[in-house]
Amino acid sequence: MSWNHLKRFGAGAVLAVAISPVWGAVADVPESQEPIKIAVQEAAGQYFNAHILGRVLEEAGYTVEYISAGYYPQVQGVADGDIHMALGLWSSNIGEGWMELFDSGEVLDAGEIGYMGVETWYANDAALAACPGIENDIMVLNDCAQALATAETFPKGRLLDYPIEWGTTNELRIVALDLPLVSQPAGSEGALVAEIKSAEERGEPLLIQFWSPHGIMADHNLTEVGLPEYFDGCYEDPAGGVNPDATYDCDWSAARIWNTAWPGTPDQWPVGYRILQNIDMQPQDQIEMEDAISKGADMDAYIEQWLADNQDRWQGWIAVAQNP
Amino acid sequence: MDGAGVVPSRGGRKDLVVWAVTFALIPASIVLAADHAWLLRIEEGAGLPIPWLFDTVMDWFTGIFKPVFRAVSWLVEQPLYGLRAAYGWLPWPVVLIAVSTLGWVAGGRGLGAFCGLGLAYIVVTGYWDEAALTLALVTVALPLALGGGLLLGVGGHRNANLRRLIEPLLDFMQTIPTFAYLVPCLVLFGFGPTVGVIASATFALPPMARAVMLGLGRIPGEVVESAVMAGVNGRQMLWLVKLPAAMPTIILGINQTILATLSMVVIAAVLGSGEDLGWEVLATMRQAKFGESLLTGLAIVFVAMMMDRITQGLARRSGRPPGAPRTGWFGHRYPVLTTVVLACLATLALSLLMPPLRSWPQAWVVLPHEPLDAAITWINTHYPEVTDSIRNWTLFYFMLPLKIGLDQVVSPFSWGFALTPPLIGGYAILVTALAALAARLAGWRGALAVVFAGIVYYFGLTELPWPAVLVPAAVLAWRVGGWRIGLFALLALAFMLASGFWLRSMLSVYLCGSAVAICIVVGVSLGTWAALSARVSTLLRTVNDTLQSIPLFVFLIPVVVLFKVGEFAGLLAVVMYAIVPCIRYTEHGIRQVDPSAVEAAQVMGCTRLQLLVRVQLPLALPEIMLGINQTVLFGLAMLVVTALVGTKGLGQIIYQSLANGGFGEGITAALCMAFIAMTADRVIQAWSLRKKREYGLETD
Repeated sequence: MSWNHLKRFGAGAVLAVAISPVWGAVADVPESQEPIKIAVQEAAGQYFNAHILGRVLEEAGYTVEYISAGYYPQVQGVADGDIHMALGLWSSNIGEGWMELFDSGEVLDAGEIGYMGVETWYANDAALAACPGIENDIMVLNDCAQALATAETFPKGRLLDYPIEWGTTNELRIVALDLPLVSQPAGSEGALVAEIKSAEERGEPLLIQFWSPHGIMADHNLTEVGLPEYFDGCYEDPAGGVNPDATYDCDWSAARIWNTAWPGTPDQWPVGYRILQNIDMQPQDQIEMEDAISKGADMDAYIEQWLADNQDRWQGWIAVAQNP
Repeated sequence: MDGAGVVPSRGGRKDLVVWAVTFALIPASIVLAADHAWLLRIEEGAGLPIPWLFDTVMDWFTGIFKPVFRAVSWLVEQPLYGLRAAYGWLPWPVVLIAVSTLGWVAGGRGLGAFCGLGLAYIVVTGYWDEAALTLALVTVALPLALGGGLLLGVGGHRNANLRRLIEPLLDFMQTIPTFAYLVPCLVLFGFGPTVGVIASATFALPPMARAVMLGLGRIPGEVVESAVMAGVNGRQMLWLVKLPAAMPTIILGINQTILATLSMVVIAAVLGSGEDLGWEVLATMRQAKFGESLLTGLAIVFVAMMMDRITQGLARRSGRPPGAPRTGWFGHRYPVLTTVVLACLATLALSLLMPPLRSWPQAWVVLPHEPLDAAITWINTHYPEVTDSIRNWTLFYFMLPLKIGLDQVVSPFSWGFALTPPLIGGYAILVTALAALAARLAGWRGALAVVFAGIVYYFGLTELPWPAVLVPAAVLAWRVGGWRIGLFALLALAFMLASGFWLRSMLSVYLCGSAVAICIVVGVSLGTWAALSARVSTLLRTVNDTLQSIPLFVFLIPVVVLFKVGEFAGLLAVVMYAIVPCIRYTEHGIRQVDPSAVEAAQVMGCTRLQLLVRVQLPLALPEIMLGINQTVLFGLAMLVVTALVGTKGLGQIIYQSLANGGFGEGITAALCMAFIAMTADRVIQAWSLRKKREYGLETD
């Protein structure tokens, strides 16, 4: 590094300290000049969260780089240090092989994103009309299952299920609750969304395993159906619940949504890592964002707007990270 | 393949005895399976710990060789990042001028205009930056695939032992779905664009290697002899004599390799190749945005077609003798080149002053996806009964009987009546009558084929006890292709049985088989039509090229919207992709029928229909069979993609393995898939060769 570079860098650092009234003076942020690499996926919700984190880190004084990555491959990227931070892993679909990387410490568990994932069965408006009361009690299906039937499932109704590889438990649930349903796996998120759109266009009833928050909820009305509530031990102990002889006689448990980081992150950017741990998003943020985007808002402009509107929140994350 | 093993087709009595015994086994196994289900019906997952074995070996392998692969990864990354920066920096008008000129030089005005329009499409739709990343990936992967293919091809040509090793390796590279070795690839090479490059190159290499081997093998002896007399040494012989002489065949390989590389773009995006065109396809598919994903897919099609047409044109040009040497100063000697370079420099300078020439403004982007989405919505809202009845009809009368058998499908809900004993008797009489008819038309082999189809249709492929499928398949391979191919088929099927994926394999065979049956009916008809009409031929060629280079993920969404998730949606997706070779080879086969045979038939007073059915189609049959062979391979490759719309079978296991971060399960399922593909390939090739010999079309 030449003297000129050093001088310019020094001036920049002085300037940065001068204009950062709250945190600039407290710790030597950034502890490393290396950019922090954050994984971004092709889904709007994850993009939003990742860029909020990135912008907050930038506000704290870090340089950030976004790496586009597939959902599963990103975990390997985090283990190797090619990605430093990744947000929003769902406990319901990260398989055991990937979890081993957490157990062995090859990737870090950086805490929850701030909200739990809701996973359950949803009915569209046509299904609510065909099965009145399904939003309160799933047992009304016994009288209206044929309205949900397709060629493969007749005379039983069809539950459009998660792809097998996401680890669905609905077949057990259908047996435990003795419902006239057949679970048909959809294969991918795109297929699930396409079915929701298609059913709406046709006005056909649809019963679907889905999750919230999700962008589709901004455009399409999906109502949670009345499965017996989840309770501790429902998945393990047959005795509890409506069916004393079966496990899974209840709704899905809430999914843990957590963030992960490369093990070198806390050493290289201690404050940055604590910011990741402090991040606290809410389902409302997702719902409002999806709504704005579906109405044609520009994502990057919306992120800046969000930062301006929620200054207290994210400045709090930084402040706590500065003074643990 | 060795010619000595081929059984003569009219081998008579021995053949009949073998088949009689084989067919006696089918009812025997069905009857026995009722009492000995544990032996004759293999449950899912009950098998030897083959997946565990693969996992263990892979753990050991990655433990030792990870640093080596990481070094390779680093090496590949350097040119990739350089190219990304370079392509991203170039202003679009410069690229447009340069590439259009290249197209013009390579293939005349038409190709030049095509390149210009294709690039303009990418600019206007706002996919320029994404296309630059994709192109960088292809620029690195393509030389790797071509270089590797050349190396393997030359090696295989020089050394027969090596060739025996290389050929199955190429088969595996082409038939094992990439998703199956994704996890170890990630662990070995690390996360990043390299994995995508390596995966693309691996998949795209085999056509090149095969073309090189084929081309070098076909060089006339005189060429080599005269070169020897001229005193060339070994290296000169290869580079200056043999390879140039084999060039026409090698060019075909290069084109297939280009298409294969671009077909991997979406999968490379899953592996972290960056925000390129493939990523864009994935993102839009995930949100079920059909219009946008189709428009992105078209950008990939344009890139593929431009690369394909330009290389073909250049290759054709290089065959021409050079013109008289030009004299004078540089600009005088190369007027076109000079003008283009000057024009590029001028636009480059201009682009520094005018930002829209550097990067197309977001506000000017035109992405006409609404009409496409509206078209699908229109069909969906106006004709739900039509789409539903197509789907239900196909499921009830065709797919479900093949899968689980008439005995389970026929019910008042599906067929309108229940299956009673008199009806079963009627079905048996019908099959017998059809078999008798087939015996008259095609001999006792045809009758046996009808009987077997009748059995499968009644009991269902997944419901038959395993010996009833395994033994006839192995015997067929043996009788058609000789004992080597028979043994291969037996071992391949035994692997499916032993690994516990027998039922999954049958599900895949059933889905792929249904799709191939449809491809044959529709594809051969379309191919025949194209052979008879130049206009249809031109139209179909464009459709075929598009279907072959567009990422198939694009079609999954409209198929699900119109036909719901499930096996029918999967069937349609497979048919769309796998029908292409069937059309192409049929057209080619009919067109290349010896004109003297056609003339002779006309002189003898054949009508147009008779000419087609009695002369042209039979003579084209060997070629059509090769097309069907490709269709089978394409169809199997597609099964992994159709798992995304909810088909079961081996493809699903491969995804499941990815979600679990595992390797063994996925690679075992992938090997089952590869074995199905390789068995079908061997048997059909052997059969086609035999037919060709019968007709005297090929001798060796």
